[in-house]
Amino acid sequence: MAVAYAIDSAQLLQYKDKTGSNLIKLRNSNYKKILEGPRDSHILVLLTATNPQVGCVVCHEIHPSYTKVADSWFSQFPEGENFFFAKADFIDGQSEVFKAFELNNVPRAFLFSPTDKPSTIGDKQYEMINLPQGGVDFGGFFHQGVRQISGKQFQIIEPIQYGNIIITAIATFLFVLSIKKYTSIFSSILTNRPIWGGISVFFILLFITGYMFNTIRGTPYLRPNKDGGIDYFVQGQQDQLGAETQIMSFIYAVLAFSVVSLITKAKEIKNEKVHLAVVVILSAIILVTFSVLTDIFSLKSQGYPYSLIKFSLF
Amino acid sequence: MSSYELSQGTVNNIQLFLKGLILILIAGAAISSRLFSVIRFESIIHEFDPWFNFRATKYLVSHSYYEFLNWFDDRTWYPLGRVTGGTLYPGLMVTSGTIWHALRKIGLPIDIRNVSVLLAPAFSGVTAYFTYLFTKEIKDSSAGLLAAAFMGIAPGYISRSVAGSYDNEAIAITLLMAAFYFWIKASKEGSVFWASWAAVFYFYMVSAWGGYVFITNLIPLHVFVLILMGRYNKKLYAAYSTWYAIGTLASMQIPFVGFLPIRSNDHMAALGVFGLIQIVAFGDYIRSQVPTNKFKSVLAVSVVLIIALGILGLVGLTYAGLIAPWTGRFYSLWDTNYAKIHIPIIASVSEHQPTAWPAFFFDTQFLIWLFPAGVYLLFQDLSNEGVFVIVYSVLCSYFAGVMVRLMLTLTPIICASAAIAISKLFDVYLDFSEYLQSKVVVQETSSEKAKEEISVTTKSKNHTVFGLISKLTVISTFAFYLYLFVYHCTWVTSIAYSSPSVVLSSRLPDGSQNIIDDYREAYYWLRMNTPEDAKILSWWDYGYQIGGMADRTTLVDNNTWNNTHIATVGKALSSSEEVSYEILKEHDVDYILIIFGGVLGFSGDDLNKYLWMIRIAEGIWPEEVKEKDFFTANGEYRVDDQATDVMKNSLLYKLSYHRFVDLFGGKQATDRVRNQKITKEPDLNIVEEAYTTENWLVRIYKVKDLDNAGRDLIQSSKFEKESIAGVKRRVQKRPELDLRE
Repeated sequence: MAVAYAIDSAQLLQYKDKTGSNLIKLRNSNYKKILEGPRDSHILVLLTATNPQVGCVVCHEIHPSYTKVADSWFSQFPEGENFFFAKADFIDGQSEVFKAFELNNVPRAFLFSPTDKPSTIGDKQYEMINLPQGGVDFGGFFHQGVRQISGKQFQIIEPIQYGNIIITAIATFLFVLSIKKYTSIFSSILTNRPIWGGISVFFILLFITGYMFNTIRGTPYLRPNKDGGIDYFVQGQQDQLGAETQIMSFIYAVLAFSVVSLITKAKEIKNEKVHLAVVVILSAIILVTFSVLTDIFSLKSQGYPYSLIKFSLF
Repeated sequence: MSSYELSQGTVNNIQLFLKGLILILIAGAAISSRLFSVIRFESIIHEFDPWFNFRATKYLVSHSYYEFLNWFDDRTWYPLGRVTGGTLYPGLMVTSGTIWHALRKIGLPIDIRNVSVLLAPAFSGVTAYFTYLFTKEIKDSSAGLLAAAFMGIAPGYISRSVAGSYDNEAIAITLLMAAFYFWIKASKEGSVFWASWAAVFYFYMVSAWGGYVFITNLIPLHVFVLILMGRYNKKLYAAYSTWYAIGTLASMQIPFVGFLPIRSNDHMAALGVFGLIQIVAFGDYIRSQVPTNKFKSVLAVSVVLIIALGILGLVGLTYAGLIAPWTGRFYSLWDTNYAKIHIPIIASVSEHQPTAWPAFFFDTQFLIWLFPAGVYLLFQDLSNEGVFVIVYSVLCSYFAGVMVRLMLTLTPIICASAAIAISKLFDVYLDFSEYLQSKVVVQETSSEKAKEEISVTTKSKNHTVFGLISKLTVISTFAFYLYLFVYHCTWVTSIAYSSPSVVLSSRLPDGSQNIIDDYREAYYWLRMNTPEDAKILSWWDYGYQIGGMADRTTLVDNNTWNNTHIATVGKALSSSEEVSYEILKEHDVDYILIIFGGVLGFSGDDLNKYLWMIRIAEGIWPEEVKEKDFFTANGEYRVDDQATDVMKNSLLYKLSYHRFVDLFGGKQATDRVRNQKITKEPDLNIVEEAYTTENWLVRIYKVKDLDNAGRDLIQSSKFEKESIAGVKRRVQKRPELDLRE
């Protein structure tokens, strides 16, 4: 008996081809048509938000893996074999889709199975898929899931990044060429102490201000707060934002630079009055910056009892 | 100069006296600031690992050294046991054992516990002295004294060396600084003597702490960088060859290390540089014999070729299995996601988390911003020793950023660099010789306390009051920062690093201190009320403490050598009763010990560590234990009535909340850690409660024996409950119905 599907795999394939990728893009205009059955295919839906303001780290992790699995699937089953991948990204402004699912959190994944009955999204005739927490291999997760649901074996195809290879090759070639041509300049850079000193200090400053923490934890750069403003600092000694690394390394750099100037540059000034002025200004910079530093630290760590000058800024 | 009242000899003597006095005072300050915990609580071993070290030390002093090395411990990792003598770093135990014996010899029989408790503070004084020597080699003795003072009180080091923190790090940092000092001395003078001392301390370090790999890689890296900079000389050759040969042979004498130095990738850099320096030395010799222009390029090409061949050979041998690949902990330093995916047991340890910036400031206060300044200043007059400090700084900053615990190895170099910066500043601004022409020498020594080699240059400048003011400005502000630093360090030490964590303390509403001693209460109960061969199942965190304080056999402990065994315990705790009972019986478990903080509000309890147990178990049995089953549909970790069924049926959940509702006597039962309401008494059948401590922090359950009628335990306990309820059953039904509404 032939069931009249509201949407069949041929139509879904058209939707997919329209986007130019292997993911069906859900829009305010089309999501009802695509998802509200009856249908003959599985549709895996990913709702995500890659806007930087949202600060969703997992979304950025999950998206390439999802695309990769979809690409691999369609490269082996170009007709889709009754399994389709769809997504909606908050960045595209298709907010009705998100409203329909009554979402407060992203990313979320849902599976719509083949059915003979029509149903709205509000009826919740779909399965929610428990996504693993961040830091895991999402590609493997989706791959395994799709294999289980579809019952078909397929391989994950790692796309070859031709662009990267070409860029690397050209860059290497240019680099070697320029070394060959400007040997003397390169050797003078290589033996230039201030440059090496600068590089060393730069890396030290990055590392002691939690750069690795940001990389490993994938902390957001900034965080919007309840009052609608933006937080540059989060409370707590075991936590930080991306912006904090930049602010703190700047503060440390100012302090270190002032100390170095006090030691090396100030004594070269012969005029005593100018010398005094420079020394007093540098000392004042150190005092003020250090005060700001302790104030920021008291903000991070409640109950820190010491401060130099209290600024009401924080 | 000598025309004044004091001769050069007297000045030197005064300097020596002052330096000695200052160093003794620094040692005194270092030791006394580590005694907070002894004064507040008592002379007690802290935390977890120290309990094992203490237990091993007791074994060492009651047995012979060889028995200690051959010690097979059948009271841990039941039923596997542990080859303890061959899998520990004996340096710490041997050190305190030696001290204990020496004190007895001179008629001071001190309890081994007190030796152990006070070992770390005592060694911190020695560390300060070696930091002084180290920094003195880099700059001068005034920088050295500053560095020693910083090192003595910097919280970054105190964190691992307070009294009672009887851990490998307690002596390892001392040995680290000693080895580095002797290495600097050796490379500076090209002396075989100093290089041998560096090797001796390297050996001592290998015997004491796994972190010795840091020295194994840092010294070769220093040499390698120097060779790249074209700073190779014969002194470097003599120092490195001596250190490497003696140090490697010596380190292989430690049973736990054995043949690792020639078989593991962690040590290959040292071997490679050893080979490289031979070739460079050979090339250097040839060059001195046959001066040709072509030679340089031939040398360059051959060096590149040999490095390439070496790396290829290394890769080949690793693939062939002749060389062990890098250890997991080493990988996790570079590929920061490695541990999370492949070895959850490493990722689960809080010490292995990355460091946020406040931790650096918390641990070193203003030294942290003097640190880059000091490193930059070293570039101005770049010496071979300076290169060492720079390499150490950059590399270790990275490590400390990746893992909190490596903050410990960064602290010495922060102290040294900051001391160099401050001392350079003071060299410029504390020089009042121009204003006090008549009493130059005397004033210098007493005001600066200990400055060597002051070059008194009589300048023909006009000294106005402006110069004086500028000097006073800088000095007064920095004197204030130093003053503040001392307060900061004392505050941090007192507030953050002086808790034994075996005994907790809290403040009552009226401000008085309340000591929570539940751990020891529970361990003492085990010791007194259970058979001597009872097997206790607990999560691995408490293995060492149970072994040390309760003296009972454990299944897993903090040694974590066998991941599968830990996963077994994780599975037993995270499965349903039927599954768990099988595992418990297979492993002869008599008692289960869990930590529950829901009554007290103690957030480090087992339910909060639960996800790690589940993850580790899932790593071995992905089909039977699934992390996602413990999360609600919304992805939340809940323990109240919205918790998933898998969560509610898991053993640890039941053990935690058994009788929890009763405790509140009809009022709303709230878990104070997770702030969730518990409404239902879990149905517990396979174990019975044996003991719960005063604040419910530790709960001990006895595993029931097999049923004598051959039923499974759930049936039999159901039957028992019903037969006890017996007559009352009808009466009880009513309120139950009400509850369901």
